[in-house]
Amino acid sequence: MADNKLLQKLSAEQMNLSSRIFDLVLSRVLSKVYSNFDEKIKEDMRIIFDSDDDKEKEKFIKKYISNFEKLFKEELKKIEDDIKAEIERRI
Amino acid sequence: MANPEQPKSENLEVGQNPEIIANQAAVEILGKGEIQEAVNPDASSEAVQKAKGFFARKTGEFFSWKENKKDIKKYTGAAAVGTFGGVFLAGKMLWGLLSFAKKAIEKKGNITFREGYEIGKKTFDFDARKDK
Repeated sequence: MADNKLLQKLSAEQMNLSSRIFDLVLSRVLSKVYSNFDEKIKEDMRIIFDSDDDKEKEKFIKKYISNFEKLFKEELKKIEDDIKAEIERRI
Repeated sequence: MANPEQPKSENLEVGQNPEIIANQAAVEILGKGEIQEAVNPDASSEAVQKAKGFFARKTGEFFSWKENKKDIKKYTGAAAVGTFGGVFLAGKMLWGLLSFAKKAIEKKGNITFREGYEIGKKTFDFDARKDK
């Protein structure tokens, strides 16, 4: 699959960076949606993700973070723009 | 990591390798972003931390399915599928940044909006998706 081939082409440093980018974007997406939840949903989220019930976790995601992919791309684009600006600054 | 206070002429010797430039720029921006997240109370809340752990675990499971050549169409985890796409996009973005760095070196930093747009379009193909 093309996805796998691309990931295999990355150097060890790029794989590490890719993992850090992913972690940062994931953190930003989740904290962004969390900040918009009311206190009841925040508490539900804490309880559900602290449990062992993966089905409930999936249900929560589908219900409250259904636009995950869109949010992920938005945050990724922001990081990409910042890195591009930094590249231009360094040249 | 290059010192941001260094004059541009001193950066050039270090900086003509596009991969090094792209990686150093990524390290710089990621470092700043990670510090911001570390002091963000929402990001460090228990709920977000646990949810991050869940996404990471499910993504690992999904990778394992792919590596074991199981039929990924039968994998039905929204979290895993969503995050796998994210892992792929993050890797793809790094390739795009490498192209951007090469072009920036060629043009000594004077990349036009259109050139930047074309690199981004090839990387993410967002517009092609919209057209479907």
